[in-house]
Amino acid sequence: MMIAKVVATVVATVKDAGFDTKKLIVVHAHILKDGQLIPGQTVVVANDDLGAGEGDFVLVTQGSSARLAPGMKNCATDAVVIALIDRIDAHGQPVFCKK
Amino acid sequence: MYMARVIGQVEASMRAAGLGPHRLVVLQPLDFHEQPIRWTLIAVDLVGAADGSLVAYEEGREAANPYDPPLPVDACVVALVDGYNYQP
Amino acid sequence: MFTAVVKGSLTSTVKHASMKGVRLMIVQPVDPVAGTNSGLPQIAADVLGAGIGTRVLVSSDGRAAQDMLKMDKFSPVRLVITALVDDAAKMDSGA
Repeated sequence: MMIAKVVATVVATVKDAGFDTKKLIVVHAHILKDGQLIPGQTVVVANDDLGAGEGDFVLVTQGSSARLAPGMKNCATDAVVIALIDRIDAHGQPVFCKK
Repeated sequence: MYMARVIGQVEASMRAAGLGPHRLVVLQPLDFHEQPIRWTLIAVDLVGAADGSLVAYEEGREAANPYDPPLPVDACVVALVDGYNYQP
Repeated sequence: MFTAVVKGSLTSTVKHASMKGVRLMIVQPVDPVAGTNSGLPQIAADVLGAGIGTRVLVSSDGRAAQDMLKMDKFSPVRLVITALVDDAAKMDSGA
């Protein structure tokens, strides 16, 4: 999975029926390097059922595993938010803590 | 599978119902000279890997297999590495 | 599938139950014609007895791995050595 920051939302009226009621958000992947949480190079659109807000750090599952998330079986998605991150520790030190 | 070192963990109380309480670890993939390759990723821990452990992880839909019903995960720590013999 | 050369092996005591008795080999993907490395070394399961230096064929499908290793559907293994390669000849262009 990837750590990602929510940077925007996507609104679409014409969409696959499986997308109905599912929020679409734009997330920017983040990686850990030298004990720091830094932006990566990947930006993807993901489905979100957990209510992630802009600026939140989330955990995103990609690929066919994404459809294993609850309610996503019939959704034509390849990226789903599976958790809202409270805290990230690296080498025993906190690198992110939700306020 | 790739080899990686467990360099941290992620705590999340708000989880998708299917994810369960499983521990989520931060992995730094390594080559067989133990130099970093690829970006860090988050995986669900199947084997009780401690911080600093050398592990093997699997990516993709197969990472969801060990659980019934399968978890919505795309990476899973599947083995603790005791040692390896590499002759490049 | 891709061709690779076995570069080593890996030992593990604590591992997913489906991997008991299965050897874990370090495989370096190689271009079958040029013979040059093509990507990062990875870890593949082996039941054919591939040794270090052996040219092998590696499948990256979990279902193939389950069949070959006689594992159930709960196995997370994806990479498996499916053949020991004798020779990879360049295709004749027919010119």
